[in-house]
Amino acid sequence: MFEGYFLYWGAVWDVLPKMAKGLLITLEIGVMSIALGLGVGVAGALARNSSRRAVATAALVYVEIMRNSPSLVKMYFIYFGLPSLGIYPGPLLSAVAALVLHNGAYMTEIVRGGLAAIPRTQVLAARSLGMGTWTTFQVVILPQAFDNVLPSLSNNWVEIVKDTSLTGALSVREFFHVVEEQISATLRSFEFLTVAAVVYLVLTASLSGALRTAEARIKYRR
Amino acid sequence: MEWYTGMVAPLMRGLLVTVELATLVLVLGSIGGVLFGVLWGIAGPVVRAAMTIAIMLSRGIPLLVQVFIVFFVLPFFGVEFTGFTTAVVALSLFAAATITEIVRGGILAVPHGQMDAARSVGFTYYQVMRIVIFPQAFRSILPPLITQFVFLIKATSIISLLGVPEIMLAGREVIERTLLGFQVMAMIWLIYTAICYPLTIVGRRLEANFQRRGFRPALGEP
Repeated sequence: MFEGYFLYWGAVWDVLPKMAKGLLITLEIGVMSIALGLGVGVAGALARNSSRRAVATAALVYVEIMRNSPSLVKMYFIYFGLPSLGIYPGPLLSAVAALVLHNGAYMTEIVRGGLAAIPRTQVLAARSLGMGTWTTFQVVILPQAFDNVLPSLSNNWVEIVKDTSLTGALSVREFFHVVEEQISATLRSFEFLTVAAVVYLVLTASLSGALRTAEARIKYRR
Repeated sequence: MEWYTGMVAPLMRGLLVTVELATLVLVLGSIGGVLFGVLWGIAGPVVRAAMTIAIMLSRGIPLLVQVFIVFFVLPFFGVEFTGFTTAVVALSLFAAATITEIVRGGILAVPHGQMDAARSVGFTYYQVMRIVIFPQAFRSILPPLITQFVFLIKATSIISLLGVPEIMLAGREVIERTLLGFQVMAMIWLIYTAICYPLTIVGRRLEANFQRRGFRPALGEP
């Protein structure tokens, strides 16, 4: 084991600023995808519940074609496919758009489940207090639905953070792309991959930990 | 004809590798998952702790990083793999870890009275597991297992980043040659959907079926 190979952690230390920059881009992609994806999820859930047949069907088709193919396919489709139509999205935009579309479909189903769990009486009560449709949704329905689905959302968000590592395939200079680059430059694969594994573990663990704390607070509040 | 030899034929060759890879991963992962899931029931605290850590790592680190770890780090321990073997090993380990969780949840969902009753009529532990517990657990295991299968089939796409000539890499090569990015990626998107959507439907049917018969989902709320 490790014959003729001496661990040299200095290899990582030397390129720390580059790694930090990559991590920042990873976080950027993650936060944007989560925020925009949640927006798509809420809109999608409403569309799925729409009384207009066409809107509901369109939302269903969207969910199924997104959930039954890899996120990498959508990244390539946007980055390599859209230029054929004369649209030239950059790597970062393609990456975020693909992650938003892909995970927006998952969040659509998650939010839909949360909305379905809200009793009809909540709407009736809010309406009888004189709230409009939008106010009812925004003040009464959505917050409760959000509390219900936080655990499922948390799983999806962790998936998003992990999926940011694929965006390097579009030459986005995110964390894992920097790691790969450094491995081929220094051949210090053991050191860099260990650091990458630890960094991602810390990221995913702190995200799910934070959401679990939020969830516990919500339960306590009730 | 040009269209066929230039675009469809390479994609089909890639699809063959994807199918081969996915089949190996699903079979090996399922065998590993069932073995470890059953092992959980009889394991002592040390083995359980080791399994918990392994599952935590497989969930917290992006799959791409895990694949790279298998590819770059195992050679230090004297094991060297080709790209395809790396893919099979890394994805099967990940599959086994996630399926272990599903199997464990399914077994835990069978009421403990079943075990007590069967033991009291003289079955041995292994007989109870084989004849009483597992057939019942299987019904609640199947729906989440199929969801996981769909996830794993989609996950094989990241292996293209390791240079294994599966459908995504074949697609990129065709795009580089023909510049038909839109057509190629749309076709790959369709192919993945054609494989995964029927599986999703089967999973949903099974789940609805078992819920109607009063079985609780394996990984739902207690």
